[in-house]
Amino acid sequence: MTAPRKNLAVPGALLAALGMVLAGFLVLDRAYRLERQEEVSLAKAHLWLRPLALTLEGGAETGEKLAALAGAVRRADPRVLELQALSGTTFRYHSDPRKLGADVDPQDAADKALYDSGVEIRYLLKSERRKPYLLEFDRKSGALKLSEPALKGRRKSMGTLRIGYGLERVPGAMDAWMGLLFLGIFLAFLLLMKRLHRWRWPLAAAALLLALAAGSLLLLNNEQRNLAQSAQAKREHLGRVGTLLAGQSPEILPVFAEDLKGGIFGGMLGEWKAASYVPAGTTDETRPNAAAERVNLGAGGAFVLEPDAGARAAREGAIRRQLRVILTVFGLLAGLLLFFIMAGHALRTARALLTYRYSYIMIFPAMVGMIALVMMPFVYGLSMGFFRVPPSQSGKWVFVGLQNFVEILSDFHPLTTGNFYFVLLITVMWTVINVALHVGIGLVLAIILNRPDFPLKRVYRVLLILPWAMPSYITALIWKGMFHKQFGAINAFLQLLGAEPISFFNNFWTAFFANVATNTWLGFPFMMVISLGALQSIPADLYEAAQIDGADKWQQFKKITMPLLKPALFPAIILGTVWTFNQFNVIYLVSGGDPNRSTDILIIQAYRFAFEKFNWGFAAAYSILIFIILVTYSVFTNRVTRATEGVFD
Amino acid sequence: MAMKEKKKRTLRERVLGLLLQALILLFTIGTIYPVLWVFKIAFGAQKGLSISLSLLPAQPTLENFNYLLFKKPFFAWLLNSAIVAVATTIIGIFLAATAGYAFSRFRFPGRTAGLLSFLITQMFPGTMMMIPLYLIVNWLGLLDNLAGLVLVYSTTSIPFSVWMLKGYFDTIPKELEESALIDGASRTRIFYKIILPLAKPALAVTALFSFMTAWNEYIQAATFMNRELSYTLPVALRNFVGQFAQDWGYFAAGAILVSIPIVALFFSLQKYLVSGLTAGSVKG
Repeated sequence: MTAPRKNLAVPGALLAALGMVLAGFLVLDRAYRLERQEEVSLAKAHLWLRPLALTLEGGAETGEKLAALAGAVRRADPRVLELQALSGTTFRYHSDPRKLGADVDPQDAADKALYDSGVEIRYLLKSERRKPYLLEFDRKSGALKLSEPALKGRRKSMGTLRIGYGLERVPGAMDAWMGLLFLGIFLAFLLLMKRLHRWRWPLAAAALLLALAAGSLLLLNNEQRNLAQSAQAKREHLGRVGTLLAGQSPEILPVFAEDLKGGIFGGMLGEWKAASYVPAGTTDETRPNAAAERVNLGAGGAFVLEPDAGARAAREGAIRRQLRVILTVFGLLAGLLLFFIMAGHALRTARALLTYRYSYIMIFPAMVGMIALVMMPFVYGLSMGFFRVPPSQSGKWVFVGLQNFVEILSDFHPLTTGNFYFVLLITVMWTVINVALHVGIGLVLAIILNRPDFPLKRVYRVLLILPWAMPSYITALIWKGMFHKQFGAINAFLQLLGAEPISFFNNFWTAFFANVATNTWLGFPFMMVISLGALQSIPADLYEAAQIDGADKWQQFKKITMPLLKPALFPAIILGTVWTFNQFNVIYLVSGGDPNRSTDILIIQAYRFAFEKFNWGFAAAYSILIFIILVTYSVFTNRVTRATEGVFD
Repeated sequence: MAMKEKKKRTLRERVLGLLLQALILLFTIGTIYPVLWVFKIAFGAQKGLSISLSLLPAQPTLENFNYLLFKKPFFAWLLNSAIVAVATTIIGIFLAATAGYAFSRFRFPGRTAGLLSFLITQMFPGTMMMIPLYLIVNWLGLLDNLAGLVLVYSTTSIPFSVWMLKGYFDTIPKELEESALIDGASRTRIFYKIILPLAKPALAVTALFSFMTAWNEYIQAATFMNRELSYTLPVALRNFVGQFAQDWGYFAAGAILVSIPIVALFFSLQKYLVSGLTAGSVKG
């Protein structure tokens, strides 16, 4: 009675572990996003500050200009919360108008702080070890405060500027997506665990791995998007700053462009390795290279920025490295946890291996062969569906997620060649017609040939099995010849009846008919033999007893023959359906998909994608869909007919 | 009254019997017509197809056979096909018999999973397997090598064979082995001396199917074998009526030569076909 509670405790702990992993990724994602956001805010603040510093460097006579520019900056961006420019001990600008032109007041904490940062920046400038700016975050007001020097000469500070810049809010859309995804993994895990209780350990491992993989992929994906967005935001902001400068003090633009990447602030923007200013009216576009980006400043000309591909790659590489560390740590932890839990199981497994060694030894060779040559290629093929695979062994696979499937399944246009739904329809039609004909003909023949007094039944039986004995590719090619327009026997027969010869492969229905005729010829003997075997195993006294009870032939067939045929026929029908669904030879060799690929079934389409269009990822996705359809069908029919009932006992 | 009724019924039965006979006869003629048609083309003089319905060639000749046997490397192809088919059969039967026996007789952890995995492999679309298989065979250095084909064919035939043999072993009473065990026979000895001889029908049918898988397979052989001398018969024959040729005469002659051994084998094992194939699945 205590068993259920015990069974709940361990999965609960595992769920908690899984939840922790997932929550970890959520937190990490948010942290990455905040970092990126801060980076953008910092860049924006920096971009506002630099022209002011450059103006300040112009000397005392630029005081009015500085004030005008600073005023314009504050009007242009409401996120500029405060702004100060200190030269020596005098404020050249202050966002508080009362302090404009005043000296630093040692009693005022804010003034003192600014003065002290000036001292510190001068020290940093001299030490040359760190970037000469100071950054503080004020979490309470949601603002960052950036102080930078104004320089005289190369490294001589002659002033300090400070900006308080409001951090931008982080949109939370991706959180929701990630949450949903993880919730999905979670629920699937829970559901499966309940259904497949015996598999809970491998399942737990799989769920953990899945969560780790999904988390890292999402993280990477988000981070790449964040990087792109931050680059875009910086570029736009640069445009705004440039436009404002073009209106206020255009003479500063070339210097500003120089200053963007060079000098002591190199690396602050991270995205570009060179920048230059192109005045308005310059038609000659001197682009350093094709990747150069152009930021237009309205009527004021443009900036030309040269992206730093190396820096971008380095940043992404850094993220990847971080992820690898995370994955390793989490993976090790998860593995360790599983190891400890499974140690008991391992012991049991070892004991089982020892106890049942004879069975395992007997199965081992077949199992190894299957794993190496069926399971491995299968998994390989399965994974291929999620990649864009170049048709050479050296080419690089590109992960595309579900794109292949989406492309296949979202094409609803019925007339595209290879449209999945159309081909599926043809395939289902093909399968149903064929299996019905196989079973129908096979059953009727078996019943007739099973009549005790039927003359020559041995001869007939031998002759009727002939199609099964013949190699199917030969059969298919023979029938292709039989349906030949000029020389085929079918058309000769039709002409004998006075009809016009038909070119079978120019019309969908006649081509389809040719395929079905061939496959029927090929397939009915199997069903006949199965039915015959089953009929022969029905004891004759059953019929005698039924006859005595007054049952007529039809009743006997319905009440005795059919129920006793079922156990033999149902597995054969399921197997036959799967075989027909994947029947390659007949269609490929008889109609070859003519006319215009319309008689192709799914497996042939998959083959064409793989070996005619060399789109291997697409072909694999196609095959996976076929596999899913077949497994679903088999599981479903198995449930309904209980065809394999008792087989596993 | 009763007499009359009985007579009437026999009359009706006789008419029905005649009708059925006519039906079967017609159907059989329809069934073997294509086969006979191949004979006509094979022994006919024209390289292409003939237009008449008649099954007798206009000018009987052995030219097609002569060309195929002595002007083409037919015997090399035949040898390739034979080696591949025999090797596949032996390996497949050995592995499937042991695995099938274990699945049938022993209850061990992983049994259901194993059986299910063998069943599911039947649903893998062949095209999905071909690219990875090609890469694996290439990696093993077995392209253009018969051993590569044997490997691939064995794994294709094993799942079906395992299931069939397991089904047949299920029908052999356990008491036989139990008494042998009591008499001191080892498991291995029981398997070889008691079980295998009793399972002869199923073994014969399984062997037949394994052989047929290898003998008749076309697509993979065409993919893995690139030199004319390493072709198996299906690949070679297909090329006669492929994209670049329409030599129906050679093809028909080849078809007959290829089919004779397999059809002979099929019919010699035919008496096992019904019992071997269905004994396992009929449990009613």
